Amino acid sequence: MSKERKTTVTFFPVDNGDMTLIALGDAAETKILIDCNIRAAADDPEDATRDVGKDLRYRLKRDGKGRPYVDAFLQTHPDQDHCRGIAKHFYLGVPSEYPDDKKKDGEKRIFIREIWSSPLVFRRASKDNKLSQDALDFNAEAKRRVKVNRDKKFAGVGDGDRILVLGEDENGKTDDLGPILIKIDELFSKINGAQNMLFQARLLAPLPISDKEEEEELLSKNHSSVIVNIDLADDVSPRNWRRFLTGGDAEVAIWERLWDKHKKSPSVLTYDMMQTPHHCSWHSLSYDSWSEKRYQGKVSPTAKSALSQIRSSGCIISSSCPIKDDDNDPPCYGAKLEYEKIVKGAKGTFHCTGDVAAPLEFVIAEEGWEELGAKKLTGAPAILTSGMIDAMGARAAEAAAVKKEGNRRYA
Amino acid sequence: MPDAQPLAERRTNALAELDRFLSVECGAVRLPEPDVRAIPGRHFVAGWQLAVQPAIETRRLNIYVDALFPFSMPRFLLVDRPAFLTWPHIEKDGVLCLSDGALPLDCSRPSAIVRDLFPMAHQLLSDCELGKNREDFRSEFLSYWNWKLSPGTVTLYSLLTPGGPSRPIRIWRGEKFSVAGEDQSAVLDWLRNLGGPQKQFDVTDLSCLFWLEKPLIPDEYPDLSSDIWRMANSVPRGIETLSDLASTERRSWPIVLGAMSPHGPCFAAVEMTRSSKTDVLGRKVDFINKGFRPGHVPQKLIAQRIFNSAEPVSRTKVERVDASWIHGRDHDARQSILRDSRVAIIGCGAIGAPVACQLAMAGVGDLLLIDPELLTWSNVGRHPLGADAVSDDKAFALAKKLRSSFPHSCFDSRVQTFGEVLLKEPQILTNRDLLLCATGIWTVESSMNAWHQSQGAPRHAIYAWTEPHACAGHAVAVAEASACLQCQFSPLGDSKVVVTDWPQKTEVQEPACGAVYQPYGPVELSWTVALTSALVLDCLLGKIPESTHRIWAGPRQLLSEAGGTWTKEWINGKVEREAGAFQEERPWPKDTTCPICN
Repeated sequence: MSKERKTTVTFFPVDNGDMTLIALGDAAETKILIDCNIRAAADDPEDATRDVGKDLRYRLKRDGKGRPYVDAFLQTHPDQDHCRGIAKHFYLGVPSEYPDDKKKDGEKRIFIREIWSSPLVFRRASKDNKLSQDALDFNAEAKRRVKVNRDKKFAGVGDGDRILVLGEDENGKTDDLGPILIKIDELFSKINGAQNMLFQARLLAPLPISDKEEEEELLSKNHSSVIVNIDLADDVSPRNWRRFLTGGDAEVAIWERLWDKHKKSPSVLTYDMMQTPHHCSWHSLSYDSWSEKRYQGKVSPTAKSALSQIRSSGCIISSSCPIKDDDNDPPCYGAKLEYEKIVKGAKGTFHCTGDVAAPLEFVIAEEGWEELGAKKLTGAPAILTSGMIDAMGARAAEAAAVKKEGNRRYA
Repeated sequence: MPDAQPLAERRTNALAELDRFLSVECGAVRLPEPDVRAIPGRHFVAGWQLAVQPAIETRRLNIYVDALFPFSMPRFLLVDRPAFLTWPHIEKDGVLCLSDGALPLDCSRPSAIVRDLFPMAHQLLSDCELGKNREDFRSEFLSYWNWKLSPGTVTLYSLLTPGGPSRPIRIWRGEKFSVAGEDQSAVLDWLRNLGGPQKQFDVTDLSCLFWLEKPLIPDEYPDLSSDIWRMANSVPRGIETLSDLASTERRSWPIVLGAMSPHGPCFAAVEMTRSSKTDVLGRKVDFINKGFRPGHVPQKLIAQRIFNSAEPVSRTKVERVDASWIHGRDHDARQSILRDSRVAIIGCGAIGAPVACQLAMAGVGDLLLIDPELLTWSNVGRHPLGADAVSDDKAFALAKKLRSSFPHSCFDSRVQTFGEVLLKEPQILTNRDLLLCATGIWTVESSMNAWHQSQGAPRHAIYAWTEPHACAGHAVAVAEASACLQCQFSPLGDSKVVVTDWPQKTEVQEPACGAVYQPYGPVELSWTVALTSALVLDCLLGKIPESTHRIWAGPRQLLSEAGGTWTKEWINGKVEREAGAFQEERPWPKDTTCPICN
């Protein structure tokens, strides 16, 4: 197995937002992107913000037509910090009308072979908030794909038209989507229409629609998100499966309900690596306001139980700005302390994407996950952007340290 | 220099600064030192990795420095790259060729060096990705061809005139090298000049030069005989030439490929081998005559059967050894004249011998060396011939040495006095373009002057000498229909122009009869040698229509340390001459009363 083919999970530094890439170590080098948060500043070569768009593209393969692509794109929920930049960087539309084939590679939009999306999550999110244009465009694309699948009776659907619908929608709207519908608690291992031997995921949320208006309201206000617990392995025998739990922005009430549901079989919630919900928000652990109560705020023991099913040497990653001891939430210092307690018990580690300039990358280790750092080359160091190089050229013109022209001497 | 920063400390600081720059500003990752040091043939001591996106793809790029940094150029190695020779300017191990390796660096700013090189690397990779520099494969053909040589082949030395059309040529093939030339005598003369008259230098083989429309790019490099067959189809008379080759009873045929690149002509060679075909039982099959009675196969068909095959060809390196390349690498406009110039040098001593060497290096194609003396141990200190030539005839040994050094040129010798040559074979002097007398002996100079004036040929005669201690030197070019040497000399050989004055005798007597000499060394003499050589070249190049006198006045310090002074006539009120160390050119005026030329 080559170094490049190790199953890797990459957390891009996007401040408070999520953008996570799973790169499987299979022969096809299958890629699953979870959420996207590419800010305008990241696209500006003059801006110091990390160009995560390039970071992402660097890790993607090109198809036979030279298009960068992901095999699957999972949208956990439609908040802007989880879907920002989709319309600009990803192609949303009929595959045969992909318009960027003649553009430079860096300008080609990323082709999404299969979308993983939850109509219920979109429905709940749009109840109280106006969706961003990125979210609306993504939702429209998801609907287009569902229609294509229905029209084709779920047979012969190709790359760019595929979709998995995560969780049943209200009023039986998804009842006819059998082949592309993943129900809550269901295990699935198909990616882009094909079984993958290194991947298996259990869909834990969005929690189903509730008949009780108050309950449904609570779920909506708790940032209903897709929650999946994903088993990943390297292409070795025997398989060394590691579990990655990710749950968008789901907050305390959702985690309480998940624990209540699974506490008799807590292995459903065990993980080797977890992405802190909602960028290390206090509200994933507590109903109280961090800024108001600080350390007097009460942690929900039920929610914390759901989030504490860590395995030995496990790690927790906060995809957020650097976490400081202040009133901010997210990221919340109090939440970080709670998570640090969790990892301490497992002799694990806590990481924050805001603490390092480069993407955080993890590969499967003998126990848990291993962060690829400076001592162990990732094959994906920082990208020296064209803008940075142009700036170097300008500086070089001012005071050259390498003389390229002019008088020279010979002997 | 107690305050100077130790080199090791300077290197440590430079590496630390570079590490900060690459890690903090560029986000590079430091490479493990064992990995860096393990790169074969590079001697790197530190390395970093980052990624760049030149035009299309994001690619990992390593930066390495060696133990001499910051006094040496950092090297960039492209990790994510296509197969070798897909892109130009990228070596087999991925190191980028950003310059000729001699760019001056400001070693006080280590990180700025790398900063300045980044745009160059970025531009190169962008051009590679976009295919903008693909033609560089042609313009720098030799580098790329020589990276794809077949193992075990020997270099071919080319005496060929670098240009079309495609034509038959001759090749001598040896174990260590081969030689190609336009005809057999050119090849064998070169070999004999280089290695002496050995018996293996007696025969050459027929071969051919295919002069192509443009140099090949790596994709076009021939792998099989059929590739050469296709090439032959693309050049005039190519197939006919191969047919001629096929008629020779050989098992292999070297073929030279040539083309004009933007940077000048370039050559390569391939060797095709006739295969032995066998049937299923392992018996040899006569595939050449198949279907025909022996002797009745059309020549062209034989060629096709031999050459239009899937037999692999060997790619061979060609190095040019022709005069145009050796002397000025095709960019010395004087070569067309100098190559055909014929010069005789009378006197192969401390001036004549080094002048002969300089003229040979300058590309004068034919030198005749005349000197009756043997080289002695006392000559060795200021003579191009060394101890290994002691007791040899100076003229013969020098000609032999020059022949092996410049085997494309012609060197002959006569171990005779000038007078003997005049008596026995004066024609070898009259058919020269120039005679140089470097004896400093008036009887020789005056006799040569009288003979030259009576013959009216060659067009120029030059007389060169030094004054005591080589503190001044003279070279007089006597042009036809102009003043002769005698015009500015007394009947007893005293020059009318004397630069230095000596209060006492300057010659030193050896403990032997007549063994006197001037105690100067080769360094002081070198200015007079150069003065003379330059005047020879100017005469050959037609720049000296009238008789001319060039004088070298050595530096005053040299003169005073030897105990001499400038003559009053030389200074003649011109105080700027006091410091010396300059060359002056003046006419060599005609004396209307000269008994020789009037």
